[in-house]
Amino acid sequence: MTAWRNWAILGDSVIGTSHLKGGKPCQDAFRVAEVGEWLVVAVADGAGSASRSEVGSRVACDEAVRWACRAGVANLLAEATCRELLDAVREAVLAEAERLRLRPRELACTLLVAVVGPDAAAVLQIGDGAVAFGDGTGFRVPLWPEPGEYANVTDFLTDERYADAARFARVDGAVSEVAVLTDGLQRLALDFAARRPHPPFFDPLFRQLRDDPDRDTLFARFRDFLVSPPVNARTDDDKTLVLATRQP
Amino acid sequence: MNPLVDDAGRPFPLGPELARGGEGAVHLVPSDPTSLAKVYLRPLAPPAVEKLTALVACARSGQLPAVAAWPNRLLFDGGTRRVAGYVMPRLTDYQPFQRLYNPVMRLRHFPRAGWRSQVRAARTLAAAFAALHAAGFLMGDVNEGNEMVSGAGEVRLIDCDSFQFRANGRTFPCEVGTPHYTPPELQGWSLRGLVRTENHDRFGLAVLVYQLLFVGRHPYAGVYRGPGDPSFEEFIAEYRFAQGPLAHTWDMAPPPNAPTFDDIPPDLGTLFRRAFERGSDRGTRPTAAEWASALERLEQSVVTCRADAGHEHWNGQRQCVWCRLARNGGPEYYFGVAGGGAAFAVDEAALQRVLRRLAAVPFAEFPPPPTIPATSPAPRPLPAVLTALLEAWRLARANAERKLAPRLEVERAELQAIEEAVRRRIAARRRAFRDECEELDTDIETAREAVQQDKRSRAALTGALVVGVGLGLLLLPFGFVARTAGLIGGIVAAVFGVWLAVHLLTGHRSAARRELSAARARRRLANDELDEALDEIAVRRAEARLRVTRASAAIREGLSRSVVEAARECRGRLLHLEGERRLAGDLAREREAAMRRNWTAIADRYRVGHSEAVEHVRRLTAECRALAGEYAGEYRQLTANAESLSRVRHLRLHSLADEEETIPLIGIGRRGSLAANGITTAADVARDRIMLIRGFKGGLAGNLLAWREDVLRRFRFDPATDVSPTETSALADRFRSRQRELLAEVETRLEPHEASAERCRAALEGLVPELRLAATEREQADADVLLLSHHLSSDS
Repeated sequence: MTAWRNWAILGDSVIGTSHLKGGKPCQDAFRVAEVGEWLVVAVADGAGSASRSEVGSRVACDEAVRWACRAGVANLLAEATCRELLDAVREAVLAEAERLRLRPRELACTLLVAVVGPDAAAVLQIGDGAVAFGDGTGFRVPLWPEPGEYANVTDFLTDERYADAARFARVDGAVSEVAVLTDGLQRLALDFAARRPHPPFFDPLFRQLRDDPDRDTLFARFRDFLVSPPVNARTDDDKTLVLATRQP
Repeated sequence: MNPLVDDAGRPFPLGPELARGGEGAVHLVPSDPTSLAKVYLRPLAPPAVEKLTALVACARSGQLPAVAAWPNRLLFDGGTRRVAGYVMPRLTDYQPFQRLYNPVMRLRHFPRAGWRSQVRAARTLAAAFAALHAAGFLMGDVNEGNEMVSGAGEVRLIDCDSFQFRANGRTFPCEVGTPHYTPPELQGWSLRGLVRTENHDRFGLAVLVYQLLFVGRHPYAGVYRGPGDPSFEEFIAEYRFAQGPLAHTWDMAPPPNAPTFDDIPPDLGTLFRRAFERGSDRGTRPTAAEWASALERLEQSVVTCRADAGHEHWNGQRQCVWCRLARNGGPEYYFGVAGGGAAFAVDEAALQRVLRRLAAVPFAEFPPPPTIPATSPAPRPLPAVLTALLEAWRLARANAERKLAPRLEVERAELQAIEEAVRRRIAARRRAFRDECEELDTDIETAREAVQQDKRSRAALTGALVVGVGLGLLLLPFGFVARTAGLIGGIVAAVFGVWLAVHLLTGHRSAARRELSAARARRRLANDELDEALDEIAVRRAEARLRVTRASAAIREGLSRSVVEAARECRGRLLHLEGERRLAGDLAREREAAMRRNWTAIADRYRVGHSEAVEHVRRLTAECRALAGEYAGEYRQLTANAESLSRVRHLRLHSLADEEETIPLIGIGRRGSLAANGITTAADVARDRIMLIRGFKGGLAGNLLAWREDVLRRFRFDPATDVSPTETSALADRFRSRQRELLAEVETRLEPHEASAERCRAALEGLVPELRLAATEREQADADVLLLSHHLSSDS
């Protein structure tokens, strides 16, 4: 919970009910960093089939934000730089696997990186999950999550073909709201039939974020929402949601 | 001649003679350097004395002394007391008008006078005439030498004693004249006793004005296309004005290489036509005032040529007339008039200023980035939700422990009881085992002794039997002696052998041995029974323990699920927070390091920039100083071929259209033919070209060539003025502008250099808040991480 400057930020990862029953930890991770007017959000979803994917996702998010800040956040508007970031993040995850004497696939995770500047934004994505950008009038998802070949099969950072699986999108124009979510919330937040974000999901959340000044109650309410029966009824997976809105 | 006295009878000594004319000599006046004295060579006739007296009487009236060198005092012969001369103002720095309108003379005497100053002189001259005419005087003998002009453009008329005027009821005429300024209607007339009109005077004025405006050409000097070779006076008498739309009707065309009516305002053209064309004799020539106002208007519409600042022309003509004439191979009338040829010199003062400023810029030392003092902040409180979760987890754990405690107590007691019972049973069993073993051991001992006993008796029997068998076998060989003995031996051996065999075979199946084996078997059985019993006890104990602990295990399981869930959630969140804070700390650390690097880079940049700027400015000033040598070199090159160019210019300025250039046998008609063949100036005169023209053979060509030689003889090369001022000034300008550029570059370098220390300081100071922010963030993050790590390790 860093101090807010230019952005109001709210994020949480909540362990899924199935993971709880299975005795697994929460395998999602996220990191947020504000750099002046810029915002960089990294979210990773550890593979359920991997033994230590919670480590993979944490390392991936850390390295993504660290690399972005070091390389200059504005440079990430260029696809080439984003792909360099992807290589660096993968390298960090593989190095961690090496350190723990594990096979890389035991740290498998997806990665979503959203970068928002004053008049442009970019998304880098490998695997499930979604980034939604809002400009105050509506939301759009630059990279629509494509279901894998089989259900529950997605692309991971640790895959050999990670570079092909990674997608990049750049959005020009003012972006005042960002939402990044893992696949646990995908079905709730996105209208797959119409292929567009589901406004009733985003609108109340952002309204609260904009209007409620008390961060603790805000966070409590946010968390209550994430563990609420309606949400749990739709997904038993881990779920991460990061919301950010530009402060006036 | 007697010494002179003034009008008061005082002696009037004369200074050195300056000039001498037909009727008198002009002397300096030792007592008054602003006056001159004119002394007549012969005694004056009474009318002349009367005229002089009247003239002097007017000296104090009106503005005439302002326009003419008016006689202000009479001088008398000291002996006869007759008028012998007069005193007039001395005109210093004035020159005859001819030197202004004639291009060759003008370039020498008025080197900076452009066309505008000639227009102005014409206007001032007209104003002087207007004043004169208004006062009732006529100039009379208008000519190229009777009007003086100063470098500042002031005009004075001289030779006032020849003016025509009326005084005391009679007219004092002007009885001298100059043919070229004499109007057509008076050409060929005797001037003696002639009373002139103002119209005659206006003609002379118009000629002077024309000459000033048309590069010294006479209005009647043009290209004559008519027959014969008339004299110039005839041309004037026949009103053959060379300009104007009707000039061709009297076989005239404007002179070559000169401006035309297109180059002056139309109203001035009209004035010239009114002055010079036929009919002008009827008193309609423009008055001096008309000229003055028309010329004043022209003066205001004169512009400077863009190509050459020495070229000035009427703005009604878009093209510069002087450029046009020069381009067409004509003379460069205003060569070098723009001047500005001031030689280039390095601006050492400016350079000194620059170097002083450079030396005044100190080199500033900047400290390394400050180390932000550690504030060791308190870790921020955990988010309320997490605190609540942690609390809930601890509560759940405590709750579970509280619930389990009594049950565990009971369980421990029961288990203790079980253990005790088991221990007792095992001890009893072992005691029974020991007792039984003692008994069995006695039996075994008894059996073992019986076996020994049995063994000994059997050994004795075995010995007896062996002896029996041996005896039997001993008897056998006696069978050969006595069959019976053999038979008895055989029977005995057989019987004892069989017995022995049976005895040996049944030896260890003796009763004693059987007893011993049975005792040993019983002992083994007792051992096995003990093991079995102990195993059974162990199983029983395990069953009892299980029975005892099953209930509490069920309780523990029920209680711990919620605790584990809470723990897992807490741990996940703590891990997330710790990771987040650690990352924030790392980012802040990196930012801080980057800013420290930036700090050093700024200070380094300043240091390098400082020495570079000093170096650069020094190099530029050196470059600037080196301009002097470069300039001298280029100037030498420029003068090298200036003389030949100057000679051609000199030849071109001498025009055949100029009636003042007198060449024997080459009159106006022949000059027309020459002009028709492209020969208009001395520069065009060449034997080959002249010989091609019909009628120009032998003598005529010789005269022309002699004239050219004469013109050439008058050529003097003066590097100071004849090296093209345009080029020298262009050269100097080029160097001046290079110097300006260099100095400007110095300025662009010097100014930031002077401000660089301040800018560097400001930039470094600008880093401090960021640096402090990063350090604070780092420290906060480190403190937070410490707290979170503590939570993580204590709650695992």
